Amino acid sequence: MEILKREEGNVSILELKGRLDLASGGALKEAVKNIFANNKSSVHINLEKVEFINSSGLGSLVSVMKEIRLNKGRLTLSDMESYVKEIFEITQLSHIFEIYDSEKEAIESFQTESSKV
Amino acid sequence: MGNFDKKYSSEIESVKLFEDDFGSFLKGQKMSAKKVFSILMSVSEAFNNALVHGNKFDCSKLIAVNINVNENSLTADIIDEGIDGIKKIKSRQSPGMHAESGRGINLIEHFSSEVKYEEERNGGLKISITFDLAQVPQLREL
Repeated sequence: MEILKREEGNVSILELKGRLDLASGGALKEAVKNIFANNKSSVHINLEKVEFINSSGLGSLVSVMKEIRLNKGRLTLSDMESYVKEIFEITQLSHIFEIYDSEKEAIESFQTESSKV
Repeated sequence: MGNFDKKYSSEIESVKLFEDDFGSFLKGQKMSAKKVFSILMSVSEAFNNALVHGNKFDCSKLIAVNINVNENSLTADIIDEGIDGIKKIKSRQSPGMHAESGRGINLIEHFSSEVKYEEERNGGLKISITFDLAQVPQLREL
């Protein structure tokens, strides 16, 4: 899996490309650790180019979500293919992740949140 | 129609190798792409279970995959050489919402018609998954 990292304001965006599974979950966790190392904890993951996800891949997303919350941060997801969205629904993970249709909406939600503070 | 019988070593690279082999086999079965994906995903979850929880990445142990497909159904047996797999499966509880593992079995059961768990003579676990090909739940817009 390829992970592209971008910044938009205070939000670190990870764009995943390829398979999110047992073999690639570690790379995602490492990418999030690197974000923490830069004293950031607002993370958005764009899943548009994820072509395969299984329970191990879901487990790695749950793991990074927990790490981000421990660091008092926030994680959003977006741009899921319909079959990825369905896997989130089957496993009921759609209830615990903040899922947006588009990256733009997700990033705006961070800005709305910071303007409330 | 036909059979697919192979054994794989218990290393992470075997997952992709198995999925490529099995994917090619399924594509030769005149099934829709959606159906192929649902079956491949489900059987791959069982393969991952055998690798991680059964053989625990022990390269001296093998994962056997035996698949039979006919006009109406596809049956996949995934057999590991682990210890107490049947006990673990029988004592399994639904994963908590924030659990990092345990969802593979849920996905297998969602996409298949029937799942059986048996203990092999050597103590390994055999997961037998049957798909009624007329009724495989298909993922949306693949």
